[in-house]
Amino acid sequence: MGERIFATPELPPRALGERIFATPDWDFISIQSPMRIQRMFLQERKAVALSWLRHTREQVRQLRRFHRGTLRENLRPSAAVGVRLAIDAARFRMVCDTARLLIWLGGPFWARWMARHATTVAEQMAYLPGRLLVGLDARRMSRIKNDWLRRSAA
Amino acid sequence: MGNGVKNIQVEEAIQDLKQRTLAEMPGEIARLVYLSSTRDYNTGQYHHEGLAFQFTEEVARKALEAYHKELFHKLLFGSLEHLVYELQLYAGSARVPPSELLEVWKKLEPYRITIPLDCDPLAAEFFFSNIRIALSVLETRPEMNPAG
Repeated sequence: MGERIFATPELPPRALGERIFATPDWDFISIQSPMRIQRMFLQERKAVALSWLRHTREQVRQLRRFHRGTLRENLRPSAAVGVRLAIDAARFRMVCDTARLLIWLGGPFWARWMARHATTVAEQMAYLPGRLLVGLDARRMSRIKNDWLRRSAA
Repeated sequence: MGNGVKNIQVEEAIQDLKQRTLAEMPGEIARLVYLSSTRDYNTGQYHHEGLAFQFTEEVARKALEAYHKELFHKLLFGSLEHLVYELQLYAGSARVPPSELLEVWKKLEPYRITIPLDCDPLAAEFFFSNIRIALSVLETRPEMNPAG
């Protein structure tokens, strides 16, 4: 979300996603370890990859709530912004579903490019509402903050 | 850096920590375990008598916290091969046989307390998973099981 203004939804750092889906660990394990460890490694990494996907999806869901509720009511962004976010949300869902399928079928490393793509789309979605908040006066910012806190607690 | 504590003081305290207390420790896991042990289990606040005496309580606390995070991130984003190496170094330097240490680490999972307080849950999950894998890799190495 660029600069984080208050406790708005936060995506997992890109570097963590890159690290989880990177292949050098598998190269190390597949060369040096017995089959039992290789299986364990793939199970462990698959579980973490699925957690990453769940976490990213959840944050994007929160971001959509933030936009549809708090930002729309307080800032009334243009219809174009709403359409853009809806298209990105559909893209994001599709990419995540594909990544999930690839993780289940072939393991986390099959989904590497899809995971990267999911991060890019999620970052784009986070950037747009973030830009709407920049430059707002303290009173409006405080109103938006309170509105979001109320909605998140509900 | 809030409360009047300057970055430069914290940086000096980190250097002091590295050059004195941590210098003799064999590897990054030993340092990580040590740094997390300087944290109060109930409050999560760091404390180091010598560092606080030389600087201030607050500078010492911030230095320990900052270096703990730095070291954790180094291990988190480093390769699994590096983590296995560091864990082997730690197991080899402990006062108990390495095989015993590996067993206890697998059962009690003491590595769970080595994460920084504000660690992202996903990062913690990834770190724990990597430690579990590293422990299993080490178990298969003959030098870790000299009797077997």
